[in-house]
Amino acid sequence: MKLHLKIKRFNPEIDKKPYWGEYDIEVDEMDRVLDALQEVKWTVDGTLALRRSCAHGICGSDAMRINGRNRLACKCLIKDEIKNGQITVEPILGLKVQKDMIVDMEPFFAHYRSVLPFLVNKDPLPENGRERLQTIADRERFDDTTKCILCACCTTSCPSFWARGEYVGPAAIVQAHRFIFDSRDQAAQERLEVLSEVDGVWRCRTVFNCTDACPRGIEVTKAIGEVKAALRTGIIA
Amino acid sequence: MTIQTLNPAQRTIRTVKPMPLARNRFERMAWIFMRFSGLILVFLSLSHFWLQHLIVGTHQLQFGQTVARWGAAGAPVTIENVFWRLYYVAIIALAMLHGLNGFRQVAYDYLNNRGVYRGVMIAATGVIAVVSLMGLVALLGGATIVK
Repeated sequence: MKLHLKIKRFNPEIDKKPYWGEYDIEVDEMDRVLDALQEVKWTVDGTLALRRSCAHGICGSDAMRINGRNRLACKCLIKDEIKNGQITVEPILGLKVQKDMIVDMEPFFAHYRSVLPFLVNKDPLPENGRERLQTIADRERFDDTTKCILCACCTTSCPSFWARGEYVGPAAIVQAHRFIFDSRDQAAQERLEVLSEVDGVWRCRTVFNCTDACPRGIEVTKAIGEVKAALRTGIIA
Repeated sequence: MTIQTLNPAQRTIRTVKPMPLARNRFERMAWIFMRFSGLILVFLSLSHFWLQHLIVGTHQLQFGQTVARWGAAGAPVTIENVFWRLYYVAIIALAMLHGLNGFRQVAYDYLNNRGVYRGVMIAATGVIAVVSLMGLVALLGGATIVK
C-alpha cells in the first residue's frame, strides 16, 4: 500500500527552522512506523536521522511523536496509525532537537539521576550469600513501575514539562516510585525530599498524557498519585 | 543450609517524615488546599448558582433580596444574616485563594524569568488583597445602598 509520510526535519547546522519533509513510499500495512522511516532513510533520503537500537520495544530509543501522540515507532503498525493515507512523525517535545528525530536527552537523564534510581540498603548482605528476601506481596507493590524503559515518552508528553523543563517529570517519578515502594530499599526519605521540591511531584496536574503515552502500559499518573500520597501522609504502604 | 521463607502475602509498611524540608512544606500544603477548597467550592458555588438563578430567578434578582439576607447597614444583625455572611465569606475567601494559587502555578510554569514571576505575583496578590478587603468591609458593615 502507498503511504504519504510527513516527517518534521531539522538540521540546526543548515536549517533556520524545522520544515516538513514529505515522502511517498510503498509499505505493507503490517509494517511498523519504524520500517517506514527506515525505508525513507535507506532508499529515499539518507540524511534522515533517528535513533533505534533493538527495534522491538525494549530499548526505548525510538520514542517520537506519531500523529501527535508520543509512541515508540517500533511498536506502532502502519495500519493502526494511517489516516487518509498519511502518517505524521515529529521529534518528542520539550527537549532540544539535535537533528530530525534525535533530541538531547541529557536534561531527561539529569532528572532521572536526581531521584537516586538505584537500590540503597546499608545493612550487611545476608550471611548465607543469598539475595535480600522480599515477600511476593512486597514485590508486587512496585511491579508496575519496574517496567519503565526510559524512552521519555511520558515526560515529553507532559504539558507541565513542556512549560517548565526543570520539572522532574513523570519518568523520574516512576523511577523514584520503583525504589520508594521497594521494601528492601532504605532511601525513601531522600527521594521524597527531592520530589517534595517545588519542581517535584507538585508540578503534576494529573493530565494523564503520561499514562496514555507509556508504551509499556505503566499507570504513570497513578504512580505519581501514590508518591503524592506518601508525601502527604508519610506512610509508604 | 537453612532456607529462610517468608509469608508471601505479608506487606511491609514503612513511614517517613511527611514534611521533609521546611521550605517544601508550602508546596505540599498548597496542593492539599487546592484539593479541599476545590471540593468545597463545588458545593458552595453550585448552591449560590441554584439560589440566585433558580430559586430567586435571574429576572427577579433585586438588591432587596441581598439586603434581606445580608442585613442592612446599621440594622441589628440576625442569625440568618450571620449565616449568609459566613457563607459568602467562605465563597470569596476560598475562591480567591484557590484562584490565586492556581494562577501562581501557571505563572511559575510559564514565567521563566524569576523577576517577572515575582512582579506578576506581587501584582496578582495585590488585586486579590484589594478585592478581599472590599469583601471584609461588606462583611462588617452590612449592605448599603450607595446613592
